[in-house]
Amino acid sequence: MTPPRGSKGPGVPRFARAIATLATPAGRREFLLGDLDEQFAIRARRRGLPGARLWYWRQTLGIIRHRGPGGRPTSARHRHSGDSAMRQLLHDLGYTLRQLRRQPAYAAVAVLSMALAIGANGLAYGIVDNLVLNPFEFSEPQRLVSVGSAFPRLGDAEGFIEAHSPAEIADFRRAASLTQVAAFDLGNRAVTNGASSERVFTALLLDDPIPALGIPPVLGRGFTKEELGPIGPTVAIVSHRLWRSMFGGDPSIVGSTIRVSGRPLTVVGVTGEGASLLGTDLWIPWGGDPNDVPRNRRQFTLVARLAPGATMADANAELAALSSRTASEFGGEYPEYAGWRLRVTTWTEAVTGQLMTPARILLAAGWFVLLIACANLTGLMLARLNARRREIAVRYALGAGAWQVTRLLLAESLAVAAAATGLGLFLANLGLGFVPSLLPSRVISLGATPELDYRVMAYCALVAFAAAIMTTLAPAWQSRRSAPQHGLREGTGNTRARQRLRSTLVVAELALAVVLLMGAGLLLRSFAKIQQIDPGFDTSRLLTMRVTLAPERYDQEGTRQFFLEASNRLAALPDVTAAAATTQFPPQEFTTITFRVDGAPAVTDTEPSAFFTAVTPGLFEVLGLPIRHGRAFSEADRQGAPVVAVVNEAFSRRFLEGRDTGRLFAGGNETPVEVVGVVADARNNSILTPTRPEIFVNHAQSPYNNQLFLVARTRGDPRESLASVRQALASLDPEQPPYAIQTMDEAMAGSVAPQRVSLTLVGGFAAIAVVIAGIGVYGVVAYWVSARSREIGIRLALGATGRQVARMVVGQTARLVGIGAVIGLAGGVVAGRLASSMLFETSATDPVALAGVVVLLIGIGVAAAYLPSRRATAVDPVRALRVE
Amino acid sequence: MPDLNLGEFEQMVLLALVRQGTDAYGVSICQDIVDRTGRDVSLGAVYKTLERLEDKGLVKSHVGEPTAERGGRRKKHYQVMAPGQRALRQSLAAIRNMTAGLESELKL
Repeated sequence: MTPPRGSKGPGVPRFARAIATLATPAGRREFLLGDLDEQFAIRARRRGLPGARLWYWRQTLGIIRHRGPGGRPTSARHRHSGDSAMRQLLHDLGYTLRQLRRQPAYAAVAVLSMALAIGANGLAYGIVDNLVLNPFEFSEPQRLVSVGSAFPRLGDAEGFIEAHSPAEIADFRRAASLTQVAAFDLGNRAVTNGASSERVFTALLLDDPIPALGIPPVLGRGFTKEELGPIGPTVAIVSHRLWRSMFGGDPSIVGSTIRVSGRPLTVVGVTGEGASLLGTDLWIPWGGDPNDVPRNRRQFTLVARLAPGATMADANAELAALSSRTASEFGGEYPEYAGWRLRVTTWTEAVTGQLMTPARILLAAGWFVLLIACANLTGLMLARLNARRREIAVRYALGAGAWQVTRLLLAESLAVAAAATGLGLFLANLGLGFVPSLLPSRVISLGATPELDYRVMAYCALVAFAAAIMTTLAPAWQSRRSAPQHGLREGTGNTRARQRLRSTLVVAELALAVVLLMGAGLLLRSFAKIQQIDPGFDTSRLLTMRVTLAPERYDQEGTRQFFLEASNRLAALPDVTAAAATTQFPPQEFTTITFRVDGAPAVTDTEPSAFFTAVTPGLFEVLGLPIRHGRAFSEADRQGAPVVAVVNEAFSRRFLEGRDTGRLFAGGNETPVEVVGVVADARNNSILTPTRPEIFVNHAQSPYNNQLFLVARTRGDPRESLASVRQALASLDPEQPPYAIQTMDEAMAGSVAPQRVSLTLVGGFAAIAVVIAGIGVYGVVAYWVSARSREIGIRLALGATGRQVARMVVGQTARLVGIGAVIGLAGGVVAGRLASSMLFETSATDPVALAGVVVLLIGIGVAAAYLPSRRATAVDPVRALRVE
Repeated sequence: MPDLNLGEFEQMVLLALVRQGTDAYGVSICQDIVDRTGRDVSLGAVYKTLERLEDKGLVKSHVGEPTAERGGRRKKHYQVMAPGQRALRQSLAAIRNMTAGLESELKL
């Protein structure tokens, strides 16, 4: 169990900790927070969690009170306390608070709607900031970079991948614009500590990444040049997370020996908290000789810093020159270098770049909710201004300037915004607690957890301040017209203009809410379509897991035997119907190979490539993929026998002109591979894109591979079979535990997680928007009714029926909703076009989404008009006429 | 001669430090004061005072090892230095002198 960042020690109130972190001066933060955690754990043990939490909160208040620096007091302390403008604003605030207390309903609606909006923005920013913009705690993250490489000749000019060979890395190291270049490969190793053994995500290093990451180890040191030499790994660094979870945070770990995949390694350090390298928990030297690796074995990722003074553009220009030099020098031996493209990006972008679009959508959705809430609050303030017109006129008459009145209004906005921020932060914190359950574990393991940190609080404060200013504008402009001669006279004055302004605002609110609704509707339609995609095989009751055999104990033949035997043992279990092993499985495969079809015309610009998968013979049967032509693998396809392949239909169509036979030369190898069968297509390149051509070979005839997935079809719930599956594997070899265990349905859900997260959040925001806009419509219609109660009274007195009066109210509402809907739907279509990359086979003018929004709008209109129309028909004509 | 007069809370923190020797740190000091005086003392106040005393040159600190129960954070230990001892002595002497002869009146 690895605790996520920011929740050291279970049960610590996160919100309080965030405040404490914020309020403590940097110099004492580490020590004070450490003390708090330590004491909290003791108190929680002795006196229970609630008492400990209360204690934590009280300490937090103490920290706020004593937040100043502890240095010697100086005379500067006795400064003048605040200038007069500030004091006046405070005075106005006090007045406002007394006013608001007298109108609790107004205050509640204003604060609540604004709090929902600020909460939505806090939630959006908390997710985007922690997962996309600033997921890492490295110093100067904008100078921490990686290099991506794309080979147009291999068919992908834009698909930059952060993978390079040691020779290429050596070239990058010589670049003047890069410094502290550190390269690493990723893998999995079994770490044994006493009796417990755990499979951990491991970085295999060519260089020490600590200087580049800029976070010193919390214990011990980094690797020396000698340790990183071609001598095999002798030393290891464990992550802060693993140190705590597996080694109990024991500082004596440095210098001790741990067993890593059967090999004793000396621990030389523990990484600093937050010094995460793609979520790896163990760092060991790669240990091989880079000179032995051919230029086209590209398996190393690179992290580096821009050299002092160098810019991103400098680095890109230098690498562009490097790539064309490499192409002319090595293009003969490695034809893929023709047109080779290199791209320097920030490390953050390399890791989280593909989340940028959903992040933008989320932030935009938050702003929409905020604008709606602002329009709503403005409308409420205008209504109140109407009731206060005499007070304001008196202020003018007594010599107040426009600024003084504006200040009073600003004080009101600020008071509402401040209260809403407090409540909004609470709501955002609540919402952020649910986010991890929406995310795929792959994202969580990077080490970033969405939480309410000081950046999110600052963002909310900024948003709230902007909202306060925005909501003051229209009322301030309106109040300038409340000259004494109008205001002091009884009567309507300019209330009609105000009413028009309020109606306009409500139309704007509705239009914005409709845009959000459209967005949510389109995402929902897309998601429904995604759910209907046929992946090509039955995903139910499939259990998948990975096993990596220690290369020291399993040679090529041993590996083949193990996976065959493991498949057989799993298949023999009573609750398993079939099982097989494979190097990858749908919906998201990763290993590709380039090949040549015998007899096909010579390659001109791009070399054909396909997914390349080694399987044990039973895989197609386990997945339920029918053989369309020819045959599947058999036990006879063993080492020494002619190498055979099964291809999928996509392959047959694209490269074999639909035939089920052919001869391939794969991966630059001169041994021919005979195609003996064609298997049905399964979505192998994400569930969202058409099936890519794929070549299957029998694991018994494939190159050495010690890392395979086991796939088992169970009779019942696959999770319930896990125990017996583990047992069967342990009986084969207890030291090769399975990991990365998930059901196929989970794998499917994980592959569409960005869509699901966007849908959930935009849908939630749209719901908030609808509620706020509904309140706005209600407010305007209710006011319209009360302002017209005399007119309604006369109409009723002259014989109008209740039905006619109700129709009048509904008509008024329908006008607002109708105009808002038309503007909003147009805006929604534009927004849908902008966000089309998030949509799946759904056009921005999707009729179902449009119709759904219209129906919902009619619902809002009816709901908003219901109470006012009831009140209108209940007007007593006699009383209405007697008012004056 | 810098002004080394001690505030009341500074006295308490220094006394706790003297009692605890070299192992004292935020929590232990705070706990000692709470236990002996029954007052509600916050860690924030203790740290602020310790920083001030260190600034005055009355105490010194050193940083220890990180531990798991502290979320991998390090601990800062404090120790009284000779000027601190002296300041404490003067302060307590001043109190003693001022209270001399008033025991019956104050019902001490």
